[in-house]
Amino acid sequence: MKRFIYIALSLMALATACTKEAPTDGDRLYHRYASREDLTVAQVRGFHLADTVKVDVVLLVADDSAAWQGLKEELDIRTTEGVTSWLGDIDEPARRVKRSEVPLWRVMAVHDDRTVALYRVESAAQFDALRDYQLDRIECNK
Amino acid sequence: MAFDNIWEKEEQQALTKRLQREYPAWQRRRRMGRRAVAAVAVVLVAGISIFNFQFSIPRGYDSVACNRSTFPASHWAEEAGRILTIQTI
Repeated sequence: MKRFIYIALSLMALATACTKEAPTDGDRLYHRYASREDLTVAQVRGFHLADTVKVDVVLLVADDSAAWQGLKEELDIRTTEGVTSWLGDIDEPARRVKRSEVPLWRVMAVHDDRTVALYRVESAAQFDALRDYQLDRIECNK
Repeated sequence: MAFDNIWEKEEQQALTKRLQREYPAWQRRRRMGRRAVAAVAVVLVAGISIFNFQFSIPRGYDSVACNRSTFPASHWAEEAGRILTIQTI
């Protein structure tokens, strides 16, 4: 009986180890900034853009203007107001890339909110859904 | 032969007495066991239903992680949507 319990526990441990998910790009980016005391970092997994389209989102919110200045320098944001948007490399979001270099981050930096939002995109459907989501909501808000 | 019959009769009577004495207790244990199984089944079904219901609510996101507990998870999902609606220049 004891032997059976040991075997069952070993199998359960093995199954748990095998099913452990590998860290995603969002996880890596989240953990890169999560320990920073001057930033609030949030990761939204599977944000629904449409019925079947989801994206992972990482939000970086600077707590004060000094932190925002630092974040701007890190991400090479040269504007001072409004919204700055670009397609960033998946490992180094500050590096601007072309749309074809998927997966990538669609980065939006909002000066008024001292917030940078990074949307992970890898498929045409996600690109389209991001655009449609943006257009739909902007139309609704008019 | 007669002796055998008497012995069988005594054994039969002893068995009957034992049954009369023990059967109610056994029946009670059996009833309690059934109730316990039914209670576990009810708890399981209720638990699974609540679990499924919670995850079937359309929340607009799968999960949220944050390095601070300043806002609830839904706040960050709303932020992710709100920032998308801010017009780029």
